[in-house]
Amino acid sequence: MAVAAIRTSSLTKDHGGGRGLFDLDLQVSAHDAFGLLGLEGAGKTTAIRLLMGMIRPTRGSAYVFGLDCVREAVEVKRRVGYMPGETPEFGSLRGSEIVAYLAGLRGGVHKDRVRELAERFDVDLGRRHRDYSQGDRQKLSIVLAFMHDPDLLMLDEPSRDLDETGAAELQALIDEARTAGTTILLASRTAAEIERHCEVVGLLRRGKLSRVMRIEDLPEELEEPSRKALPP
Amino acid sequence: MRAILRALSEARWTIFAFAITGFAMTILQSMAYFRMAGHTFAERAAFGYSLSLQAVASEVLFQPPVRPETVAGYVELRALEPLAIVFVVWAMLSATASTSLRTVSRAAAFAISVFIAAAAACVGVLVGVASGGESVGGLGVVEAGVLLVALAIACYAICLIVAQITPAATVVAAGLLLALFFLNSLSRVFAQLATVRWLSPFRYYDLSTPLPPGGHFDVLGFAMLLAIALLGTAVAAVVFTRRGSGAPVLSASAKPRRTTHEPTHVSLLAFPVARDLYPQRIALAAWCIAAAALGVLLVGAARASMQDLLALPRGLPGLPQYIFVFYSQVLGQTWFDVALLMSVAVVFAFVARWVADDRKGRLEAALSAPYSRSAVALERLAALAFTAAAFAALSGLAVAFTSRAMNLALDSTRLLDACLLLVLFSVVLGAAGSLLSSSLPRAAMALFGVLVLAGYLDDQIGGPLGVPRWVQDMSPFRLVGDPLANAVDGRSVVLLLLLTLALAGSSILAMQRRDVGA
Repeated sequence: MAVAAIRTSSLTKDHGGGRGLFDLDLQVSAHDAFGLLGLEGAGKTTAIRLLMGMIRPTRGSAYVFGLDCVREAVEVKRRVGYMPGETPEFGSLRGSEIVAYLAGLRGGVHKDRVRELAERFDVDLGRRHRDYSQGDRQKLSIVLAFMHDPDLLMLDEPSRDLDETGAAELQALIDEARTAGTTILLASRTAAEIERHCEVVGLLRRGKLSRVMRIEDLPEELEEPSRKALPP
Repeated sequence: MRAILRALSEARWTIFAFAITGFAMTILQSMAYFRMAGHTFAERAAFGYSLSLQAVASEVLFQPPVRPETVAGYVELRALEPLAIVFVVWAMLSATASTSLRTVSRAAAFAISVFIAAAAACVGVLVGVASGGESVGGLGVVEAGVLLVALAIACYAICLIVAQITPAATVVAAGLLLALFFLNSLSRVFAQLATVRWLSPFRYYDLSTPLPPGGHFDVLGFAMLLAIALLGTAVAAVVFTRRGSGAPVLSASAKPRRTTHEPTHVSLLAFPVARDLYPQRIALAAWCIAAAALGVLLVGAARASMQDLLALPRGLPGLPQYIFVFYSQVLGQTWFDVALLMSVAVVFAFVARWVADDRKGRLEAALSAPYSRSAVALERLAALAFTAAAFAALSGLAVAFTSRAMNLALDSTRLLDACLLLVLFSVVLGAAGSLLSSSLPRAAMALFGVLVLAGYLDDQIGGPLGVPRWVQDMSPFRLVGDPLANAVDGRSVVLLLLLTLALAGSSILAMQRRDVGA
């Protein structure tokens, strides 16, 4: 039997005051594209951070390709490309230096792949990070998430701050990754972004996974704007 | 007015921390005086004499104390002068921090902040002195307080100008203030510098000694400090309005440049430790060079202060040995103490960067790679140890070569011990900072400041205040001792190593258990 790309059982992170993620039971098969749809504070980022081993669960368990997300976090991250919801600030480091730093930590990254991604998104790697626009920072995050051709991509609101060209290029990149067999976990506030990339969607409300459905079954009223249909 | 209130609200915990620092330093030093100085006239005279003798060796750093046998003279020497340096460091960090507020509002908010902290220090003096059943002149206390404020806001204004000019504001401002401090203090030894010391705000601070009996308040010097503050703030405000928004005057990013999609060829970024140091390489190199330059200057100053001694006929029995011992003591109280303080500054910079890594998402980015949390903690400490080693080696070599060039005999083994202790001192402090930044990242800087201050006070007055021996032994300041004047104590070295291991181990555990990016 094939190992699931993502499997969680009663995964909970209680931030207090009703905030966090509660009893998430989720299974995403390898090569699938799964979307987490929910409003701000619904628990999308918390779910991704738990899977990345950034935060420790209050209870429950999470596995990526059969690897425990807490105890085997290093092995998990070897196979994952991660795009955080908030882009980090690297100050005076140049784009190329940031790539070199994170590629050095990761190992096995090909310069040709970095160059290709930078050209596709027109990211100027010679500029300092503090001089990047928000859109440029998002594009650099895409380069960093895709540069090692991971088996699983965890993308937290990847289209945010991208212009139309950037969003279209991202769509093409995700399509290529999917063709190559990469599993996708994409979190977003907008149904349109999920629809573009995923075939299965899970609705998160107040930290709980309320429904899982195929994207074509997504009720029309959820599509745009999702805010109306998904009370926080 | 709203902007000032906003700035004060944002800085409320910082103000609280510095007010507590001011209060603690003055009240504890006052209380310690009564335990150390004795009660009879003869006891206090002997105590004051011993302080004056110590001050001779450190004349190059601090002006000679006025009436150190009195509680007021002692508090001015041991509490207010160090506190002035603490407030200047606060001014430097505050003026060079990035903020959206306008310069005048920031300067006004800082003036109010430092006024509150200075007031707390004054209360500490009054309460501490009263605890011994004595009193000090109220006017002198007020004058000492406003003098602290005036020096801090003058230095703040200077740093504010620097912040408008260069993107590396903290490093440049720290270097400039260090240069201005030594311009004044070295002028006490090098007569040539006396003609230019008017450039240093520290000179105007030194002109007044308001607290001890017989001391005085130099109104002109005080006015000069206020003038520097006002003029500096005005200049910074003008530069702020004329420069491009968001970028300092000397920002290189404004230059047009060709777009590149090429990954970098800087291979340093692929290596552990080197990749940690790379972003700070210029600042760290500058700091190490400054330490070496100070080593040369302080040896020169020591020689100048020993002129009379060196002029005696060398044939006098015991003289070479006396010169050897005295020179070691002078260097111990000048070069080694300055190197310790500069090491503290380096460790502060590292801890601040670790906290910023967390706050700005860089730690999360690093941990998104297959890179263990233990490796993060260990690599951080290794980077700090490497920096401390480079700092100690450059500074130590400068002292060794300058001493030899000036025909001053120095025990090379003790100098090597001193350099190794500087490294160990930095690493043990860094391990404590690493533990704090791993377990309580938001409060880490404030807690680390408290920890360093507690260690310093523990070393200075822990014994007289009845602090248990085992607590005294936790202070890295006490454990490093004075390795140039006295042989290194093996027990202290073992304790330093054990402390380092315990703190580093705890910081690794804390790093493994903590949430990142939450």
